[in-house]
Amino acid sequence: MSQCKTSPEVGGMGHSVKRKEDPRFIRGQGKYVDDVVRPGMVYMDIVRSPYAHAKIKSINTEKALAHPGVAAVITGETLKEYNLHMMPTLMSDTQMVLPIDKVCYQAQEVAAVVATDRYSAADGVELVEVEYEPLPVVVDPHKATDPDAPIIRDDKEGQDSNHIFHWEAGDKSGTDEIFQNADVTIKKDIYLPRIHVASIETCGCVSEFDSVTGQLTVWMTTQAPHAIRTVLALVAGHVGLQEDKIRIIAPDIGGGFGGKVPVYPGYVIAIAASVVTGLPIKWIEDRRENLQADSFARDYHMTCEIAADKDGTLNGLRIKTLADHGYADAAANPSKWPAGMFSICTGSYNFKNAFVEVDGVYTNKPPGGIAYRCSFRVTEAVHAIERMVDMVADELGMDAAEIRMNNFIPKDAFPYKSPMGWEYDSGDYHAALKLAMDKIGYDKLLKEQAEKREKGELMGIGISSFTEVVGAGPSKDFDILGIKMFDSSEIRIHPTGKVMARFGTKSQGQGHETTYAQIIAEELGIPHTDISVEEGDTDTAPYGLGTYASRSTPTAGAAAAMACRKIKDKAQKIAAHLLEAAEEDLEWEVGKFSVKGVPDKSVTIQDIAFAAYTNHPQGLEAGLEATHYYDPPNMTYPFGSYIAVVDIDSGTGEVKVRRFLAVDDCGNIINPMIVEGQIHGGLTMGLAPSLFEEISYDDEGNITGGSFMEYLVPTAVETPNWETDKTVTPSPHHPLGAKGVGESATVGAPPAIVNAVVDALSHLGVRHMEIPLTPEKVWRAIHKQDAA
Amino acid sequence: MKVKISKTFSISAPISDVWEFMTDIKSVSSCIPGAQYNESLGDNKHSVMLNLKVGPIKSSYRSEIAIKSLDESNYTLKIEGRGTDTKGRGGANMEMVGRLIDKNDGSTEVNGDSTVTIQGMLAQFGSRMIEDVSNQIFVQFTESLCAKLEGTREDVNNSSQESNNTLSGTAVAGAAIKGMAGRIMGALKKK
Repeated sequence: MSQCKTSPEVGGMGHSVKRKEDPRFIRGQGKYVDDVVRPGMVYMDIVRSPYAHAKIKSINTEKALAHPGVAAVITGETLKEYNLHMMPTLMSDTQMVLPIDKVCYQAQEVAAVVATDRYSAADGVELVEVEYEPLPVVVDPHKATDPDAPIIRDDKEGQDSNHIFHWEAGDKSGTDEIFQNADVTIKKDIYLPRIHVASIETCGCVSEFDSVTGQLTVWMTTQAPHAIRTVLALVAGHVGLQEDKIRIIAPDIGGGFGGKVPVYPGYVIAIAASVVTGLPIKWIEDRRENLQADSFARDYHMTCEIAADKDGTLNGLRIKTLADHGYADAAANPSKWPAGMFSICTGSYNFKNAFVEVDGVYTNKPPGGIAYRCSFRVTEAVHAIERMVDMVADELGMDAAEIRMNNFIPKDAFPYKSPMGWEYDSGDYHAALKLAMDKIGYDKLLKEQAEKREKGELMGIGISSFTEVVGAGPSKDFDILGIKMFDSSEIRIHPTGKVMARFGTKSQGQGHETTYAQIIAEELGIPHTDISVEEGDTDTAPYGLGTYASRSTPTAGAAAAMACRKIKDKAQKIAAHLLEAAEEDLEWEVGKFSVKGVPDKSVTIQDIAFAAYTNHPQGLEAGLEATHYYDPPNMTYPFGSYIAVVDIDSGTGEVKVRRFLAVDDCGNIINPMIVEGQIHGGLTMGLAPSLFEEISYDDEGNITGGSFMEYLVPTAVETPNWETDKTVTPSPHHPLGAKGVGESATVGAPPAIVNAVVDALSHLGVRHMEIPLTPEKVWRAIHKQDAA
Repeated sequence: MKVKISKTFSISAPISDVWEFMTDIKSVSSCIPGAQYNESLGDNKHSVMLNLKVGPIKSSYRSEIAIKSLDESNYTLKIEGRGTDTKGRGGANMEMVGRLIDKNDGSTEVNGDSTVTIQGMLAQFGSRMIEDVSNQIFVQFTESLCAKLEGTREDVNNSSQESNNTLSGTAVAGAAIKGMAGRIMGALKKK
């Protein structure tokens, strides 16, 4: 957007309004779940399995119960009495709340101890004696379907292997034909390892049940409070919880990134325990529990093939994937496809045909998937295509920018139907890459690289021109246990012209209180400072599916605009009454209606609001408010071109990202400063798995990356100076032309960094490297040693 | 995680004495720091409690040690151990092959190859230190073994047939750090 329609005082779209939520965050005045204290509250801690796969022979709670602070020890047997020992996952699989006879991953919940204080709860955990009989372990997904592999889910009827699902998309025979006739084909295995979001705030809840009224209130670290309420009513209706008496409150949330979408056993145990005991119960994970047992992301073993002409024209793409889901398919994936949006893998390129297939398997690892600032497997898809395109360029001796420019979907081809059936809404990929190249000085960098290579110095330039798919999503394709993926906004204009707006989404630090206020300011001309935004309390907020997958602006943001337009329609009727003019003779400019041709005959939105309660026209309802549930007609497709420049120390293998330029296009921008902040954070979370993060397991299923000692999260020291710029290609179907931006950078950054590192080492024969690019891995590549 | 340990050392004692000692689990247990012999379970199986402290983790392993084979003609024995943490925080399995060689000068060479598989908390946290801890246990074991077989030192003879002390966390951590420092220094010297 070239210029703002509203004044800085009104602060509509395009203004870098300072975030309304920051004063409380900066001063430590945020109110998180762990800040909630209830009268008579007791504390819960969890006994966890040391084994990745073992029979439980006995659980002896005697010593724990003898501890003076311990009130109760809850086991699977306890929950079984209420039929709450198992629960459904979002992928229609099942998972244990607490086990009855066996455990399936290290750190799995085995029992819970409730005590009068947090220390006694931890002491009680130490005193619970569990006798296990270790079982053979499945760690490697490639061996999960071997005939001699132990069956992990022998609890499920008819489950006679560890195979969960086979899913495919695209045109197999058409793609095979392209490969048969191709000039050049390249095949490569690409693995994206298991990673964890490691939010500052771990997960937890405070559950309080009033046994007199039957009211259950749960303060909970959740990105989707309404969905949680309905799920609770559905799975625990038989023990007397009914939806009108369940209140889920998501207070301030210290980072979500998808990790706070799933329902973890700890929540369910705490809720069950509070219902049974009648006591308010607090459960807060520690860091190790958070890293070791909560939902992960990626763990995709992809075999990628690409077919091209001699001149570099990309024609066909085939990807066969083995997906390691852990012991249950519990990905927080609300799409109707078991591999989410993975079939977006043709990316920004005009492929003739493509085919993907994904097989999900069980292993002895925690359940989950996709929880890492990613719109359901788009990160895997982007990594695969952006690496493969570079490999074709390398094979044909082409420049990485040139091959992209030659194969981009042209601007005039939008809306563009991909071979996989996605309808890209809008894009101008050439403009974004060109801007990135100009801004970073691409030609100069190529020259510098050539000079450095002469001197034996290792420098690389990497490009990633990604296309995202966000804003889940159209009701025909997206639901959570049947509930469609719309989102909502309820806006009330008070008599004095001030606004209370409530939403079905839930900010975890994205700045919704500011962004949504700006949307309303844009639509109604009411200053953003006069608008309060509230989310997260299911008793007050309209129903919505929550915040993840960059969906808040595409769905709830759109709902806000639509609700404002309903209000404006009514306001126009009131204005006509006040101005004694016909409705159609009025025109709207920011914040007021005036009579066409008589500009000084006007009423402000504030005047109209007052009249709505004091002098409303007869025949019209009093009040000025509206609610809108927005079911998006399509996904939005933000995109961007990133260029990374790396220097590598050949002696240590250390990769230093010297420069990183991100050109993003997220359509029309509501608050440029917030967007830039989202991109900075996103880039850092793209750098993290590229260079540092991995949750790995040894052959016995022991987690070897389960604490911050091994799981390296980048700090300011490791993070380069991010350079950002933008192009603006509005979404044609979103009421504000906006697209969503939260995840773009996390999705787009890793291949840029890997491409740069491979580029730096390409003259040594390196064609591909798997993330994280640790100094050891890079050193071995330089010195041509196989990885240990 | 798996740890492989191979060690060779000499004892100034005749091979028959060493063989007799080494094939008696009760005697051997008395030389392992933190080990406490409980009882014979018959059929060449023995119950031993092993107390271990690595950094913040204090573990007691209830272990069953079985002599799988004894070949006196070649002085070779095979031992299997299986231990579970008494608090259910993990477990470890060990397979060891020991061989004695008569040095024909009144001393005996002892070769030991063992593989230890560890599951649970110790594997998660101790993985960086476990090799050094193992080495330290081994050093204490050989010292104690030599003292018993070679000398007639009062303190050794007077002690009961068990060593109750938990292997000291501080001592082990100290030794482990020295071990790591040594490796780093070694690596630097190679350059």
